[in-house]
Amino acid sequence: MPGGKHRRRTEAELAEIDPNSLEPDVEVRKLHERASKLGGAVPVRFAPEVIAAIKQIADAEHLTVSAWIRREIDASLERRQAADAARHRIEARARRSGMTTADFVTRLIEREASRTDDEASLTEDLRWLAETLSETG
Amino acid sequence: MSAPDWELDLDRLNQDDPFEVDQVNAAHLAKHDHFATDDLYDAFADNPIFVGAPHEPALWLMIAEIPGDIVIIPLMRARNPTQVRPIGIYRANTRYRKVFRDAWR
Repeated sequence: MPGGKHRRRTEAELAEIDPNSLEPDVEVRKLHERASKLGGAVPVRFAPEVIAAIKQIADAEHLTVSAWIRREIDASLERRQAADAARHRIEARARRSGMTTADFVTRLIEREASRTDDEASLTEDLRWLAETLSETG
Repeated sequence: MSAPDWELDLDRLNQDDPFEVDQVNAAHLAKHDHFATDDLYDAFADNPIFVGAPHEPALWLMIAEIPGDIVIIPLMRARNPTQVRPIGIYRANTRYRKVFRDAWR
């Protein structure tokens, strides 16, 4: 040990040691209570083949499996929240117009269709609605 | 063989916030095998084991399974006795995987 065996290593020095090179103590300690409260951690099990497939994708993206799952769930939540917000805006506009949501959407689509055939010109809300409808069948 | 020269009192660890992480050790955590701080909490949440590293008196090793891997996290004493200070996250080798598997057999 550099500096003599009585010198305590600094954090930076210890951080350079690969623990795989250390001989583990024979005594193993465990938490008495499962740490389930931690930061909303949820123990979710996946089939081994699912984990293997995710691991392959995550490795290619230089992510851990956990990080990849978190990213995908965040993206899914964002899409879901944006779709919900679009639906709420359309429902509110339909109510203000004294129409049912279905009638309001039909009128909106007909109006857009009469303006142009170019689908790309649809409003953002209509795009969200179309995606939501296609997702929910 | 003896445990590290500081007490690891698992019952005192703050179950909601067990790790002391700042800019200094966060940099160490991100150095190996593209693991990151989030993996600490995944590891702690899923039945970790703790072993001493007898030849390094300032280190405990937390070994745990995270999705797709088993990792070793060296721990130092933190300023707050209800926390520990992680200084790295490493993919466990075959020997440590066996230690972990045997502990839960």
